[in-house]
Amino acid sequence: MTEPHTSAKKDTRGTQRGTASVKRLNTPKLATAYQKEWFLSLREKVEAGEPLAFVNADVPQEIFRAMDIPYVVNQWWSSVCSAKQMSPYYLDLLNEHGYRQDLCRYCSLSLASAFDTEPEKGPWGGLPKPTVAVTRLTCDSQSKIFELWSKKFGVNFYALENTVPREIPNNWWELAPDKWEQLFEPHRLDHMLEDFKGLIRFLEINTGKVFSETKFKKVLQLVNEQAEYNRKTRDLISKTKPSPVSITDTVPAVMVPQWQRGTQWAVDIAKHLYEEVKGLIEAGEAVCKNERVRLMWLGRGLWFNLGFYQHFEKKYDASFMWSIYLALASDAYARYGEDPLRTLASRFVGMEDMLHMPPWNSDWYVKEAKNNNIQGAVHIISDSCTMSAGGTYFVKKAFEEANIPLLQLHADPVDSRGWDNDVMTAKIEDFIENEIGVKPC
Amino acid sequence: MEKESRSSLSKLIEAYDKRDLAAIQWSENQGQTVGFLGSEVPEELLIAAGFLPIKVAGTEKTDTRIGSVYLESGFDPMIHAQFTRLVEGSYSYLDHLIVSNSSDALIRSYYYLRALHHVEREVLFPKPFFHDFLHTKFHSSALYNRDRTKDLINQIEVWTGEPLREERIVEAIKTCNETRTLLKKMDSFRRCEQPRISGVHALKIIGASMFMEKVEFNNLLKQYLDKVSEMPVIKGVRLFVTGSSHEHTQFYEAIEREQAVIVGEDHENGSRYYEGLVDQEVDPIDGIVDRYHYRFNPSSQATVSERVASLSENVVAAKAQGVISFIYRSDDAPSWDFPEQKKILDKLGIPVLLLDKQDYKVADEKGLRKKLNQFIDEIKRNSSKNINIEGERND
Repeated sequence: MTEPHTSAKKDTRGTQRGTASVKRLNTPKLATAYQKEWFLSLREKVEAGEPLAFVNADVPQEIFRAMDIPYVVNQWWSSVCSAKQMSPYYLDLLNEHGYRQDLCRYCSLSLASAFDTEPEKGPWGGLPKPTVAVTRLTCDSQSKIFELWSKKFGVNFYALENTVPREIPNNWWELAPDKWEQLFEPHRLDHMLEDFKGLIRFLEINTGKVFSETKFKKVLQLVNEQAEYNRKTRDLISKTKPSPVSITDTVPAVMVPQWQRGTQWAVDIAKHLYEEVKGLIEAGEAVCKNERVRLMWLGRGLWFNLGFYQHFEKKYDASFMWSIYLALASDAYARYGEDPLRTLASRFVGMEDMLHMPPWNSDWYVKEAKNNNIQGAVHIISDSCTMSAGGTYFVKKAFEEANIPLLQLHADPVDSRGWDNDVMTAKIEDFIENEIGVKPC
Repeated sequence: MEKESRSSLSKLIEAYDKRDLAAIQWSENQGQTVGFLGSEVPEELLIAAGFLPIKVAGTEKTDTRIGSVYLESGFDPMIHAQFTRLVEGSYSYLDHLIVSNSSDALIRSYYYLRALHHVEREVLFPKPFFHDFLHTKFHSSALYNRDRTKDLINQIEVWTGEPLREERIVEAIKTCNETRTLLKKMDSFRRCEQPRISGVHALKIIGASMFMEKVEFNNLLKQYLDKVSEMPVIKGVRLFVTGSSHEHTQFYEAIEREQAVIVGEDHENGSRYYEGLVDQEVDPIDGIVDRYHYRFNPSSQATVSERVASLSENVVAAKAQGVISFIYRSDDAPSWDFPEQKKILDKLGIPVLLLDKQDYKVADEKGLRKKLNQFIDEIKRNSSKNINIEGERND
């Protein structure tokens, strides 16, 4: 049996390693156990000749589900590599091939892993060879990364376009599920529909698989059911003080099934999460029974260091109880409409606006902060990613106007090489003590 | 005669150096000015409407810290400079502002400019209009681009209060094509065996066409080109510049002080600006859309292999002896291109110097000079058997 790669080399160089979180809930344990099993069975299928798609997070995975094409999501694989503490090893490989260290790492970690001459030593035996790659041109690096990656494996890649809105809607989260024709300009939906048809034809040709309209409708229905459970869970947590769970519980419990959406398993696990959170509330369980601070984590999760958040629970009775992952799963995914493919287009056409573009994102953050009785927000900004900052100035201004303290930190969510745990901890401690006004327990 | 040619050159250089002057004068004469950010905004339509289109640009004097209050550190410094000039009020004379999607940072800047109108009490630039122009060569993109160009025409008609007449568009196409043809002719005096136009002058001439009225520009450039063959040959190592774009000449000046001449570049303030003509034999909107759609893409909108192919083709055509890849900090797109570009240049036997993570202004002139000196000296040493750097081939 081959020895897996470790980041021991990084430790000798003094790079700070992250820590895994202590899981309080059963749902994330079920989810993470499932994802490993799923991945191993996917490997077997691919080795037996099934196609495999490698896709970016903002690609309509529902299409692949309806075609029975197994897929791996770029950012999911990044998070797995990062959580396994392998990002320094892979990213060093990328740098050794001439790519500078401060290029986007969140979306290129998978490309970096493709430079490994012993790919089988990657997480769970490494990523199997794909059949196709699909991305969406939401930043300048996407076509570069996906073309380099697809050439590495000698496969074709498809790039979906990204269009830009001219209108600024009010309260997009109220319009998104049912009134999306009002929310998004028709020409954007029209174009995305055409792009999706092109993608389906590309997949039919390159994988030999068939797009089942019947299955597609079922997939859309399952995604909506999953989103409804997520919404119920988010609403339960938001109105419960002290918070029954923190983001170390909800992030894996939401994101593992997010990449499995459109399956009955994903609906069941979303339901399981809801029931488990409800049970905790009924039993009077909480992250901090004497909760003194409710915090938001704005931006991507620290995948290599999910245990980081739990320090503040112990020291301040402060719970990081909100992240984009559950909130977005609650507000941005459910869609109801007559035309299935156009309905799917409405899920994706504005995703980038909702997450990263002011005032779409800043208005939504503040709405969520108020609904969750948030006392402070920590905003992580990755300098290597144009997307992730999401209007730093406007987010700050929106929180100032809402009288909610905000701390903006610069760090990379997957590259632990530049992470200084002591410095980051000190910054958040200073924020809690001096901006929010809560001293250690 | 040489004096006359220099005089037209001086006027072009003045238009470049005083880049707001023509627009301010135009405004004072009751004309409407339209600022544009991005290389997909069809100037033809603006000219046809009677506007003066002006490229929004920073200068080497721009204090980018002002824009940095609003923008992300992950955006390249040229965007910071352009944004700075807008928010500080340098373009308060503009009547309208159009942004297109040349890069991700530019698209995001559009959202930010628009958001400033939404959240600030006072802003010193017009509300931006977005010209959404897709770059994949798919048929769906071509149709989308046609519809968005029609949207732009509708917006222009709102601004002028009258229909945009086709004959005016045809006339404007002719003018802009003449500009491109003249600039292409100028380019031939750089790429030829005995270059007579420096990279610095070329950059200023190309830039001047974006800061002044096109007919006047064409007349000045014609006068200059009529006499340029009588100008002295510029001696030095022939270099090609790739990577990030340049909207001031500091870096070009630094290179050409070192016994080198820039014979070509592939950024959008250089030769990409005049690449390709609008077909005058087809429907004007089709012609305009195709010209902006099918040019080689800037790095920010191209795949790595597209950039490798276009670089090797351009470098060979320019007979460059070396390539300098100058890349601003946070300008990720050309950094993704570079490792594969280097491989092809190595195969062609063309040396390449990477100047990565550069600031908007040359920060360390001494250090830059040293690197350029070493690179140019190495080319001279390696090519001394075949090529005399005085510009004459020995073989």
